[in-house]
Amino acid sequence: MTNTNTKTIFEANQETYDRLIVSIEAGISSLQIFLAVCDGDDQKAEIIRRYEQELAPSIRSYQVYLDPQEPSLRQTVTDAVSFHENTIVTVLGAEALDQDESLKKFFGYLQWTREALRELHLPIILWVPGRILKLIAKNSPDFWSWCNGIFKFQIESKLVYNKVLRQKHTYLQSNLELMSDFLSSLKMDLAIETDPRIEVKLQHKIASVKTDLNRLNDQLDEIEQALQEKTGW
Amino acid sequence: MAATRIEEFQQAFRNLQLQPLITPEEIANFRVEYGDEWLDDLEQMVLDCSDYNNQLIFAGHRGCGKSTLLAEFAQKLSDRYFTVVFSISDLIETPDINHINILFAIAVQLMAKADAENIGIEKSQKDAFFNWFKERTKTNEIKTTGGLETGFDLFGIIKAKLQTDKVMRETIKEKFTRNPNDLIDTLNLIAKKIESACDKKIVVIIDDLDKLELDSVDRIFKQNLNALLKPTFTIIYTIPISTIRDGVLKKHIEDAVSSRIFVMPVLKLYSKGESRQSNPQPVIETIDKLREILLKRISDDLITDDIVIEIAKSSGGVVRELIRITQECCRLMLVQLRKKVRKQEPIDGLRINQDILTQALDILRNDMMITLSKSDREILKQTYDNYRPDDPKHQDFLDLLHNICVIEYRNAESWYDLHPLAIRQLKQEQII
Repeated sequence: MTNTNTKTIFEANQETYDRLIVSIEAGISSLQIFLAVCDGDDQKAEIIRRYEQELAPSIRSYQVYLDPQEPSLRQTVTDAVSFHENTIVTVLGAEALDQDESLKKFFGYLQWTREALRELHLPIILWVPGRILKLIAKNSPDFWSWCNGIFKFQIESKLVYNKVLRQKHTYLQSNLELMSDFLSSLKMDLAIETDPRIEVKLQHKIASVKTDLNRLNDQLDEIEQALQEKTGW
Repeated sequence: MAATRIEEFQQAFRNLQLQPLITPEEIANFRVEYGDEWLDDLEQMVLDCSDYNNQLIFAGHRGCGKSTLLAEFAQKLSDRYFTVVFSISDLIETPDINHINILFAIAVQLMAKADAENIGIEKSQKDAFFNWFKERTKTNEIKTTGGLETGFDLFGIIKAKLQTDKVMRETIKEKFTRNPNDLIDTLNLIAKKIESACDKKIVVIIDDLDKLELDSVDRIFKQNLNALLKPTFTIIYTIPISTIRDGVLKKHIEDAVSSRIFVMPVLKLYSKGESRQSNPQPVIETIDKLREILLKRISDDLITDDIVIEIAKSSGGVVRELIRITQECCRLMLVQLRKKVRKQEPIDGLRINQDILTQALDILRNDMMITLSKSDREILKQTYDNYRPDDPKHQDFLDLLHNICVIEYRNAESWYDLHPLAIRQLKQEQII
């Protein structure tokens, strides 16, 4: 069940990414406002890195942050970017707007800046958390009505896996070190051992450890293959 | 060849902008004759203006083409009138709009245009106006290079300050609230001098006041409307369409301006009741007009006529929705073309088809539904069943109207219907 859900979410996100990247490409040198949503920080950073890398080197990418005191989209972009041709700008920092006052200002600026934004001839990707997306629709309805696309990325458990994998890797690493110590001591035992019965036992032990390692290797191969099929990377 | 097809869809994607047509280039490229009868109607209202009865109020659905129509109207009048059209949001960024800074913005815009066009106001008078603005906005620190008229952009600076300098906005508000006649008299004197110098009447159009929240509308158009009616030249103010659902406010405004509120209707896609029939027949003229609008922006080589008609029907007659759906179709086509190129499959001749349209409608339907609550759904059902909600003044209904989940159709009879995407959603949820 987990596997099916993960695959569905992954595929949905891949489709969303495809829609976003073609929109950015098509919108180069014209004003396009894209609202992107992702509640996973690592995942969001990965998506941004991916599209910036895909567009480079012909397209220049800027990342700018909203000022929590004066969260004006227009001001944030114009302060940082003066050259619009072959340029995109990713606007971050909306997730830090957690005070009523700063959110209210943010919505007010969005609602009120259509005309002023017309002078910007570049795609703007505004990243917002899911909780704010709904509020934009309600509090900045005009802005909402002329956005050129909404791109909602769902949290991928792949990234949750990554966290778990990192922990498991650490655990495995320490166990491998123990295993290595064990093998070293085994080697030393073997060098000094003269009892043939013990030598046979050690041979059996080595064969058993090798079988276990091969099994683990096969499991790693399976995981690697499944990961490749899932990500296409 | 592969790149060409992609470029064609990319160009169409860019052409399908959701913003109004304002610049001469945009108008030349994408304008279709649309709403001529409304332009004539509006012009007649301007002709009917007198020195004592000259303010007009304009409302319309979001995305139905108000800003485009008003820009076109200004252009149409420009050879006979001294026209100034501007967005209030272009001048004052934050939503702390009030009647004082609206009037002050008009004065700035009038003088900026007169100055830019070298309207022949006598020098001493012009200097006096410049000094008045400099003194009131405290911009005396600006260095000039030999006289006031030598081209430093006083009004450009004032516009920038109005946008960004909250202190200046507060000072102006305070100063003119204490002494409104200083502002009104100067504004009327500026207008008089311009009219006299260029021998044309003035028409000012202020767009985007319809983006105000209803409490701001109430504060400006109810509590301070008299101040806005003091100018002795023609001004067209925009207001949110939901304002006219408030009978008290509507009557207050119409009584004060002594004329009806001009409401720009949405193109009527079906006559009332027709869309509920098993094989509904749309209004042919509307479909033709929507097709014409669309084919100005996307080549008929990229989309079949059947799909154009389907998109038109799914737009509810709202131009921006027509554009939005088609832009989403172009986006999905670009995704498809990209995949095919990667697989080295041919892409020549590929057009937007039913499958792409269905996907686009599903995406936009999901976007539209993000905000709908249970009570919203109940209101939508009432509106679907009865062509009106139980309470048209309820804030939730006004929000739905504002967000185009509900569309108002007006002519001899007015009624409400749901956006076709909202109908799809409610049917899917088996609510209707």
